[in-house]
Amino acid sequence: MSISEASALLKKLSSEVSSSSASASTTLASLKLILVDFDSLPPLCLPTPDSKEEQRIACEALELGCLLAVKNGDGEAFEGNTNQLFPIYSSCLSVPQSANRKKVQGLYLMFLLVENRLADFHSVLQTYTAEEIGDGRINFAVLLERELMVGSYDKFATSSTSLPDPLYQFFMTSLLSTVRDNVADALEVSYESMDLADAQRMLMFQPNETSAFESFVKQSREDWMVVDNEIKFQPVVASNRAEDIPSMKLISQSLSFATEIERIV
Amino acid sequence: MIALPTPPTSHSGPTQSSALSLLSMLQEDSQPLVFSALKKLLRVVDTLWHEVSASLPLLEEIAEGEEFPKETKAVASAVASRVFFHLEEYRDSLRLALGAGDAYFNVVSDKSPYVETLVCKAIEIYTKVSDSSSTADDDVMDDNVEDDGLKDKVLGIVEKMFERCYSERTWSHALGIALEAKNIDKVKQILEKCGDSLNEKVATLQYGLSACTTVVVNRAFRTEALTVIGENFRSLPESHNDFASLVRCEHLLGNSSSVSEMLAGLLKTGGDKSLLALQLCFDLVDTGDQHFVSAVTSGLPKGDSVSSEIKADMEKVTAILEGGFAGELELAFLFKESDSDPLIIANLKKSLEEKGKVASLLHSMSLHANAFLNAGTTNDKFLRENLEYLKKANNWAKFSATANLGCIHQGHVTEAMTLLEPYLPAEGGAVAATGGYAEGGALMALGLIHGKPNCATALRTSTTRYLRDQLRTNSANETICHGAALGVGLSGLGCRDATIFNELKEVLYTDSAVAGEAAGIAMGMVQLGNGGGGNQEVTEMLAYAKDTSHEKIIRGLSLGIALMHYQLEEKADGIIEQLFRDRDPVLRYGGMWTVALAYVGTGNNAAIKKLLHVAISDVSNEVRMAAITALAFVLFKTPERVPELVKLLLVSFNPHVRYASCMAVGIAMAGSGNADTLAILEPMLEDLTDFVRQGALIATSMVMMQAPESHKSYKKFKSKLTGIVGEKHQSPLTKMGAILGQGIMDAGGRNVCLNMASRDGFVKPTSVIGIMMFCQHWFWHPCCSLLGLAFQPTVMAGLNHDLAFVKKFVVTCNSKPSAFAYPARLVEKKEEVKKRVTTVSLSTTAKAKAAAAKKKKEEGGDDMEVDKKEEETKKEGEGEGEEEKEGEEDSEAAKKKKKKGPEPKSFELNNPSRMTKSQVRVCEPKPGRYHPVLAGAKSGIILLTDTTPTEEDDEVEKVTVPSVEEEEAKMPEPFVWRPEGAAPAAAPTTTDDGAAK
Repeated sequence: MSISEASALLKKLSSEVSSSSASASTTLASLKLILVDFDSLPPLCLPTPDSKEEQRIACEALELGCLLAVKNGDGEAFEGNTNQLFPIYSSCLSVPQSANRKKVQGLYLMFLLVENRLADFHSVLQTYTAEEIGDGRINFAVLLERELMVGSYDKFATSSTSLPDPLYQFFMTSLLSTVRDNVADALEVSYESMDLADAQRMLMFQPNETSAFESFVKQSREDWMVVDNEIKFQPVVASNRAEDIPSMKLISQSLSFATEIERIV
Repeated sequence: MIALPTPPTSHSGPTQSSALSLLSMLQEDSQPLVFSALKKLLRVVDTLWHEVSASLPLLEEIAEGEEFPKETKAVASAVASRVFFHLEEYRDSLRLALGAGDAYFNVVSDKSPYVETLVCKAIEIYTKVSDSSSTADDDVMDDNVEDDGLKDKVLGIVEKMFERCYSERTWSHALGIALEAKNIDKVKQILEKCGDSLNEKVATLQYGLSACTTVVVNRAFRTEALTVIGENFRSLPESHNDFASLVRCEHLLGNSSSVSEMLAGLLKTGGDKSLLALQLCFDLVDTGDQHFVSAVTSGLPKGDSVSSEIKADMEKVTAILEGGFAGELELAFLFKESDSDPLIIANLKKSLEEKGKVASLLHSMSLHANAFLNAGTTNDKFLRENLEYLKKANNWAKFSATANLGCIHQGHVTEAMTLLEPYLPAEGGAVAATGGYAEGGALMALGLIHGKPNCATALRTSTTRYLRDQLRTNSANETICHGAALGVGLSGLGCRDATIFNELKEVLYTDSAVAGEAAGIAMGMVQLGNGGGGNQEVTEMLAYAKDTSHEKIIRGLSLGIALMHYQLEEKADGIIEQLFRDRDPVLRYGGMWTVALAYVGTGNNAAIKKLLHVAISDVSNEVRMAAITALAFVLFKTPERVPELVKLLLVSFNPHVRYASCMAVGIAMAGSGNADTLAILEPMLEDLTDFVRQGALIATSMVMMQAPESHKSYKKFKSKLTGIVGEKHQSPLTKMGAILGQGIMDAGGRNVCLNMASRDGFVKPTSVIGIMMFCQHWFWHPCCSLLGLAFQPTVMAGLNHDLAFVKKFVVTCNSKPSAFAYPARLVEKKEEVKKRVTTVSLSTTAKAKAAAAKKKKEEGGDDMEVDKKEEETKKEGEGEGEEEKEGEEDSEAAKKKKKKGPEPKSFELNNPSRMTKSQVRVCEPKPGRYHPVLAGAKSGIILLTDTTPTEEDDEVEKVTVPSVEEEEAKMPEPFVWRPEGAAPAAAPTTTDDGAAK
């Protein structure tokens, strides 16, 4: 009975997601309440008569949940849904490929990039098959990661214009700010001062985005001072003075070790 | 129960079941979803707890926050509690489990490891809380108990556990908890509740009695609990009376009068009950608590007040309690059933003499080994046949050689004076200031012969008197004084006589190092266990120890102080603390022994902690050694713990620590033949330091005592022992260990074992003192002889109402005969080997042989007969000589074994015969005309009821004490020593006393 209920809810959810209806999240929640009682899903993975159908519904529902979260710009919800979804992928290999699967997989890689969880990124990538990686939606994220790692931020800027799916835009925006932060950090250390226009170019703002650039400087870089069309970076404070060494602690530690060694039988 | 998820099987690749999906659901907004997820988590938490543990903070937030409904909070607590359980954080686990409530933590019906463990934890907290007197070792533990109101909840759980025990009728569990928690009201309640089934009540009471002696550490509470248990025992109806347990209980409480009354009552009832009384008397004597036994004896009705019909029985009772009957029986058994192999010592002597002159140390040790081999058997044939060899003993070696006679003739009280006459100081003779080694040794031998409390009291007191006279008349000679003082100490062990004490004190105040040391020890022996609570005598002894400049006297006094605190437990803490903090290492050394004796057999954790601390931190090697050896004394009732505890010390860089660890293991595991223990001792046999090898050899021999030839390590170790003695480059100290080891391994005609406890679990003072004094051989070699006191016959003897052996009583042993057989006798080595012997030793052997032949002529071939007889008895003792032979061959050639039929699964033991400690488990009295009066009695002296008393039984045998009938033949001739002046008397005594170490 719950299966039929679930598939009905899934249908409803599917239409709500595509029409961006506000009630989608409540539908998803009630669907999950049914899903949680399916023993065929991880971590139990017990063989039940309807296990295939249950797994299929669970996959599709959670995939829709992921897309919905991206649409709503809710990173946390996206992560929660992927956490529930990916164990099904890995433990229930017989689940049929759904239309949204590769999209979600690609989005998940994007999400990990945004979060700067590179270790997770690569371990997730290991679980994808070659065929999956060949897909444009997933490959996009893979290439992007390579560019970021190499530091070719300019190529990154160009790739942001050719998104495989509009949903990627959400992550690209966050990624851009991440990249921007990295560049800003590098600038601080490399230069004492810099021309405003140069800085704007370096920080990947279009020439027509001056106001955005100015607000970025004001909001996230409070210690930069704008004087006469030039940005003055604050010199990095030198550290590591003698007082910083916890000498007393070290001495007492060494002494206690010495006593212990004496006592070793 | 929690259903364990079956792991997914049909997968390939890196797929694993993961709780990640459920954990991520916990962060969802929908509360019902969280609840469902938690319930599902509970099902998988036992396998996936490592993943869940990352979300513990979240779980605790749900469990303790206000956000969620009660039901959700309970499940969250249950999940978190199980995670903590797997993380072995039982405290947190318990806290959350209590929060989860009954639905998820069902104490009454759930028996999963999770619940059981937590209940244990709860009980632990409960005992800590209710045990207000504890000085809180783990403050961490107690701190929070009050804070988070855990206490009440824990009490609730424990209360439920009690209920569960009641409903399941597992009374002993409940009683154990109550005893550990020191809750006397609960004890009473339990004993009341189990009263509806008398059988169960008796079992519970018996359990309580043994738990009191093993588990309850606090002396005051033990007395309280024992009183309650005793009352309950007494209130049992006639049909379920358990007199044996009641006597134990009263003995522990020290109520001698009620025991006397009970015995008198039993005798009056007559019949089986009077047999039972005799059995109880034997058991009482076996405990070795002379003080209590004599108190019981004096409480018995005497003279005219004894009615005529019980007069005969009453005489028997007194014969057992103070007439030394038990001692005679032991002596008769050891004499008759002795399987002492004369070739062991003969071969030893031969290999020592192979290289010409025998070193004094090894010579003296070989005599010690001979004494051990024949301890208590009265067999001094080797000494008689090898007078030449014996004569090589000089100075203190001569002293120990004579003292060893006492070891051999231990318990042979009736003829002690005749035996030792040739050596005793001449009546009225002038006393020389030097020499007197044989005289001193003979006096100590007298003490050794009368050392065990199961010999006749009258003879003991008269010997003590004689020894005191000698002490007075020979006060000018410190050697004789030394022997006499030790003799007085041994024969007057625990008599608490103030005059004797003062006489010894006079000897002490002469400030002679040698005599003073013995006096110090003897003072302790006389006042055994009588020193607690700021005793005046202890203060005096301590003051003198600080005053004198002789290290030997200080050591003697500190050991004396230790003896005076025997079994005093907490009452000794004051003096222990004082001695521990002393600047003099010799006094600290005494402090360690004080702990050993005060807490002997208690397993007291505080004492162990103290000892271990000293063992690794003291600056003096001797103190560290004493501390480690003391561990074996404190823990002898749970011996397996000792090897565990000293395992790390065995690999210490300090050889003294390694030596002492070996000794501790040996003492604790003596006679067990335990394979694990032997395995940890084995590497020590090849240690780089010679005296560590010595310790390992001695310890291994102790462990291998009474091991059958079929034991895995028997052959290897035995050949190692004999091999080391002959090795050219082996250090003398190692050889010494091998020689002593040979003596210990086959001690007392293979019929005795080292054991500090009596069969009833009482601590035997003589054994404890024997082992303790043996450990002093590090400083003073003559102390070796005292080990004889610690040898306890492993005897099974069935007696009828007339106290005679009943031949028709047979015990079935359900095991292969080879598992408990005496090892086969050695056979004479082949001739060619002998030919390679150097000329020097050949001449001596020839001489010895000639002497032996001459002797044999004189004896008229008596020896041969004795030999034959011995062999016969041996065969009888084994019951099936044929099979024994088979067993031997088995162990020799495993291939042959397969061809022959399998060994029989059981065999029979005749009465009396040897029954080793490990053998008791597999033995069962064979049903027949006689059966034990005390059901379940299997070893020791067993009184038997006759089912057909009217029928004559001609197969009985009286207990006969071996005696020196053939005067000349049995008597070893006195040593012929060179005139005092010609003897190398000028040599300093220290050459022989082992202080070289």
